[in-house]
Amino acid sequence: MDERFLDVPGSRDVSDVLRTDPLYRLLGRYLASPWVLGAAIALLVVLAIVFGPSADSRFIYTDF
Amino acid sequence: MRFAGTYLRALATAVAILFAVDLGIRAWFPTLPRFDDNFSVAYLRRTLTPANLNGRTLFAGDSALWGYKLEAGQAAVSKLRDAGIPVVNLSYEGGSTPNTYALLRLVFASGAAPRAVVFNVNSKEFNAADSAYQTLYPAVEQLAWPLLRASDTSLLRGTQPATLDARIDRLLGGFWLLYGMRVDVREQIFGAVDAATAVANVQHELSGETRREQDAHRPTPDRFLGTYDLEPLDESNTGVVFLERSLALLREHHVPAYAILTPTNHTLLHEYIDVPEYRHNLDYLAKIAARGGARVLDYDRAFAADDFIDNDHLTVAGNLKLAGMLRRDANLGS
Amino acid sequence: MIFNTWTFGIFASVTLSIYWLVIPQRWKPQYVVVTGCIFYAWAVPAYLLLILALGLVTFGSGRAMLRTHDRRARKRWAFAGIALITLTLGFFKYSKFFALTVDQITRSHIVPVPQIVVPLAISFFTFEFVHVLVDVYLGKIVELDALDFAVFTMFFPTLVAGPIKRYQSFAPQVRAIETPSGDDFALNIYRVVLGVAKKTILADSMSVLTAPLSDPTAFPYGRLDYWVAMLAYTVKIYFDFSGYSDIAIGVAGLLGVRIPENFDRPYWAENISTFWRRWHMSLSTWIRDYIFIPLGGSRGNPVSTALNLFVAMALAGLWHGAAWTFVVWGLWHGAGLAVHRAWSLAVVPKVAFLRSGGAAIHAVSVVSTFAFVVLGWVLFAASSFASAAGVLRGALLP
Repeated sequence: MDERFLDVPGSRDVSDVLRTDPLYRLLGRYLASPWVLGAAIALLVVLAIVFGPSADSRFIYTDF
Repeated sequence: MRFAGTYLRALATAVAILFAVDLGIRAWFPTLPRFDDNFSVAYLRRTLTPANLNGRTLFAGDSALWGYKLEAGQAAVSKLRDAGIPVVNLSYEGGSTPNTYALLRLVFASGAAPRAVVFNVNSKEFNAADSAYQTLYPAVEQLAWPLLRASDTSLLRGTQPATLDARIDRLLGGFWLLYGMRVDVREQIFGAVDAATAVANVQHELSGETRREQDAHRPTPDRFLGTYDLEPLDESNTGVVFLERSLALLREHHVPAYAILTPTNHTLLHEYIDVPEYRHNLDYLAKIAARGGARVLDYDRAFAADDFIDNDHLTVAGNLKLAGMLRRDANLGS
Repeated sequence: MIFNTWTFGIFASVTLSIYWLVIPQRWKPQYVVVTGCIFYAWAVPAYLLLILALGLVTFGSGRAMLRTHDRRARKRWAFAGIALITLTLGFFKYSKFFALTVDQITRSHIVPVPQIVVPLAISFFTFEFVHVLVDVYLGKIVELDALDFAVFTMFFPTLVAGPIKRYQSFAPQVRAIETPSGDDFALNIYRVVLGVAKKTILADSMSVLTAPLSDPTAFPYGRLDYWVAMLAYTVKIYFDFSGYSDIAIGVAGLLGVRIPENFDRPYWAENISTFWRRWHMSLSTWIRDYIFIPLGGSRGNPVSTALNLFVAMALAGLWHGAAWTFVVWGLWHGAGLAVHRAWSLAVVPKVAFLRSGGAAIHAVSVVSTFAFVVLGWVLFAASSFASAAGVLRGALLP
């Protein structure tokens, strides 16, 4: 690769991200099981619905 | 295909878990003392059942009957329920006579047989500039629109978006309970329309913004300029049309009706409504209601200025007083 | 089509199902091109012609360069192609900005302000086209196949908001699409769902907290309100963009194609330079390769390096939005980069405890970098300088 964008020792290259990221290492180990994958998807869906925004459901009404 | 098995098993697991969550909601979600701020179609469907409504007096009105700015238990209808009177509060912010009519269509379509119906007639909602003049609450509109006749819908402005996403949203909400009732679930868990709003509310309390906003929005007479249309009402007015149709519907189903002329803060609004034209319109509406078979409860001037939060919403004490008056004036059962 | 909508969910599900169940291997690239055209045309059909036209210009100029060894001819083709593409970007995205700026400076209405609908993702595909032309000119791309290029252009997971792809790493995958393994499939599905969850829970829901940033005068906000808004925006913009990238990368993976990562825990960066090596990585590497380095990079003296940083980051800011607040946001980061460079070259080597590192130094570095970035977001989110000043005044002054 050419000159780095301000070379700073210890910084990571883009290609390192996937290989060394602990989240992906962990996920790769467990998510191969379809049951775990299905449960994780259901959990994320429930969290997204429960914690998501309600802007689109607000009835704009002015009482004054 | 290599991953077909993985995909199908993962999908089946996810669907099974979501189905179990739906069962949990069906079992756990309570019947609330009144509608939430942004109740859903799914919750409305759950509420409008014969089991819930038979033999009870239904209150169908606007924010004044709903209990604006008060806790659910502080509204007049809640006080009646606490006293053991069989009532159900079907009022909501954004109520009006078109909304009352649509709600009654839904009530009777469900097969319910209420004991009586009490609704309020709020003169500001007969103003064409009022946001509820020709508009139904979204959940009510979605459920009631197919039941309305062309002569009804031609007078209303539909607000349901027709985009593909909106249609899919409505379709999913029809059978996926968690998704359909997400706003109600959030209200129960967070006490606000969503989690972020609950956090914002706490933040606003801590920063003092809530107090500053209240101070900035203290009701003063000038804020109500244009709220009340004093042009003489007649049968071309959408609110009047739906008032008559609501009464006709109640007569058709032999359900006694009470029409409350909404308590109004004449002290605050003195310069706008203490004129003959205002009383003329109120008398006109009272006459329509009486002609339609309703017993008219004229509470327009029944409350003092101290009983009000603003122009037509009562304080906790005001609601208590209203509950007492309703017990006295209406046959609500016991 | 926005990613976290039912419409996209159905589109992606149907597209992927047909892709794997129906389309034979040799027709998969063509299928991707067709689905990309449908995806792009969903918003404004007419603009599909624009992206196809600019794609043709890029491809034609690239092929013309590859056919000749004459350096001057290659330069002419590169210049013509890049000029046409960037002028198109300038017309659609910046002509209103230009008109308003001239009118403001002259305090008149000399230049009529055009009302142009900006084509979806024009900033992204413009950068991809420029990258191809420059790399062909420099000899880094030695082959330009029509089908590979068409897939590169109309690859729907990255069409709307990147990551900005590199042709050299993308093209070889087009003819060699492999069915994902069970592990890859699971990870990509999870990645998509995670992206949707990040965007919905941690980004979209933040909007209610960021209101003071868009209009600080709407209410008498307190200092806490401004700080909450700034932090909420910091969270919102990261999870919005990284969630979007997760969906793009996950869907691409489900198509059997690997595309660049875009975020690597940027808010944990110890300094602003590392931040830009972790934030929107596909953009920052593009800025480095096609603006910073051609300007001279850090090869000259410290002053010229600093100047190159300012110019590169100012243009990066302008790329994000056609407004001076974005330019100043870019300059803010350019200043940070220049200062950090001077600091790490002139100060750190001379101070023992700074050289040694340690947990305390690390913590202070991360927090100060984070604070620097948060303050920058005020400019990014503001509708005007007055609005930004109002927020900063409310947050920082007693």
